[in-house]
Amino acid sequence: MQEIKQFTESQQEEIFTVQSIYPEFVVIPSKKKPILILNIPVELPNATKLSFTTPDEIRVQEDATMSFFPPITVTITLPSEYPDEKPASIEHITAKTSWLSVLQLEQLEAHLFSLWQPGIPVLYEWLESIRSGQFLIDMRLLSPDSLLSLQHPSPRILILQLSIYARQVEAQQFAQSNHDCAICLSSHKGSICIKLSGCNHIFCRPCLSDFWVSAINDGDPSRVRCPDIECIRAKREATVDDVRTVFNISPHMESSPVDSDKGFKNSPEDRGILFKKWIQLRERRDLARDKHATYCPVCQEGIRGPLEAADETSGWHRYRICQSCKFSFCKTCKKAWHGPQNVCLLTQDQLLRYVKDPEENFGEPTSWIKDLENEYGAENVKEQVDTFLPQYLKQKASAVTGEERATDRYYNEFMEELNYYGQPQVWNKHIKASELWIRRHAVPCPGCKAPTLRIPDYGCNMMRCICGEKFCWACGTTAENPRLTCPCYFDWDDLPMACDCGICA
Amino acid sequence: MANQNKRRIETDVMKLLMSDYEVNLVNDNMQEFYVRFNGPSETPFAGGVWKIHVELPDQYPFKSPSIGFMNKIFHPNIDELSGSVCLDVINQTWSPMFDMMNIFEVFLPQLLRYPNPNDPLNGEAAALLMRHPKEYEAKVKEYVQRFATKEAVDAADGKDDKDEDEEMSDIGSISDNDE
Repeated sequence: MQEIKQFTESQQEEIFTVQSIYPEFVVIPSKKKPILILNIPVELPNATKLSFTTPDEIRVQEDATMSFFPPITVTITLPSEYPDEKPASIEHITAKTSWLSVLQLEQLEAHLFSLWQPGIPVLYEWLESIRSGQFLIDMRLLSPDSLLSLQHPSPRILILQLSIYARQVEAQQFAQSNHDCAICLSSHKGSICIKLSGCNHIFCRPCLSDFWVSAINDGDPSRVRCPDIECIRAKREATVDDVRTVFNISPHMESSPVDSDKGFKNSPEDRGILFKKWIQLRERRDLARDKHATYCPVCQEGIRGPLEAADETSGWHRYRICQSCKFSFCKTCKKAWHGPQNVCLLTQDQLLRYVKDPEENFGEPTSWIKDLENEYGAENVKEQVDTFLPQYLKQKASAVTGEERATDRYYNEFMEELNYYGQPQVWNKHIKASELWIRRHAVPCPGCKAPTLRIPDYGCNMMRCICGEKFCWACGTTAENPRLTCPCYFDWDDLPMACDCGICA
Repeated sequence: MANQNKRRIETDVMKLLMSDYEVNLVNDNMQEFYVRFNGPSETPFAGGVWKIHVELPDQYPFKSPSIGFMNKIFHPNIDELSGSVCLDVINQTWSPMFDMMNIFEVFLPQLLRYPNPNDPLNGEAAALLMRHPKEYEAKVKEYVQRFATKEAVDAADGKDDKDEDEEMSDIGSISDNDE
């Protein structure tokens, strides 16, 4: 305890008492003058609603509820006659963030004086009256139904400041208390725990980190969530801020530890990498789930559909712009944007396939044709096919036919397109071969149209696409459980060994 | 943290050992053991005893334990040959807050009580349950009589203690399941 000879003995005794109860509230700034500063945060027993009066007498009631208020600072001089003959005199009284107006602070000063009676030390009573918020009730600012009336010129700014302060206090209290983690079953200081936003469940960060790291390494972003059974049922995923806090990396993504970094299995660098991987996994999954998503024909970057879908009749719903290379194009035909009015032109390859597919499918239109008509518009397709048909029939009579010619055409067209965009010519015979191979071997997912492959010969027919679609690879039936409902189910038992895919099990 | 995981494994296995279940540790390392599991009452599985193989991965509890029925059971969601179990809570929706007691007290009894024929691992059992529930029940009971008596399980235990190959012929009916 520091020397405080500038006070009289009975004053010293009183200050010691107050200091031993609230050590952090009392400051003695000078060794010569008998001055005392009390720095008292206000904590109301119940959360209260706020109502405001602005200087132009407009009353505003806000929805926010608060129970913590920023400290009120009282600077006090103790005359040598205190406490017997004179009261302690208040030099200054201020409220941090001015949540109390000047007028209210003057009222508070008067109220504090009224608490003094000759001969009785009053410091503790003052402090307690402010700390517990009792003065608000005595001054009739706080009504019995928990409504606090404040005066402030711009209530919204004050509310912002108050809520920031309240969050700081809550975080401080959380960090100082102990919490039980339901995963490692031990009790930890709050500074290494987290209260998850959204559900308020508390776990220690190293445990959650391990759980989430294992999910990220499995490539399953949906398991990065609160482990509580209720939250799993609600399919509530963790927020970016939560993952950042749990992995203990700063908001600027570079993996610098914020505070205590004990107990983590992975190094901060690894956690930074895993965090980025999680973001990527999530983006990829959202992209796959997005029915309006598409890929940039130039740089192959995925592009999400617009948040508000444009009107289908306007033609603008086909417009996309790539975020990474800024190429603006038509979603349907993947060519440079041709304006909302012009129809999409079919490529020679598409025309050829449109005519040829039914020939191989007993005259029935294939699903590919239906999709094409859906996307390009049935009328548009019909018009273009009608002009193409005579040309095709002439061609069919000539010797060279078949797939080879189609892909050559596709190839030439693609070359032209690439030259047109001024992009390097990435198209070569390997890409052509790969295109052919994919068309022969892969089955498009019924949901997102991504080509899917099965392990040759013994792979399981039950497919779970990254977009969430479940379907039978052999016949394309989509169902929650194709294994039971798909018409080719009984062929499945012909698989040479028991299926080990973990999805159909 | 490695110690943290080990401590969780020890706590969970101790809890299981302290309970009414008969637990046999393999190699005393607490990560592999067999548990005697009784069929829940008021179901066709009542009275049956199954030996259940449990293996805890190093990442337990962040990864789910692997659970297998060692003696045969006729159930839509349990593979008859391998004994592997199809249960979402021990696969996709596993949470590190679950422990072994949850599995033996809640998840497995619930699975036997409420089979899910829409997601079958044993197609025959699923089809039978949906089309002829009476026959399903009879077949379950028959399997219990043949493969899940206390004697059968004891015999299987004896087999484990001795040389496995020698005893194979005696209890050929009990699937000796290593795959």
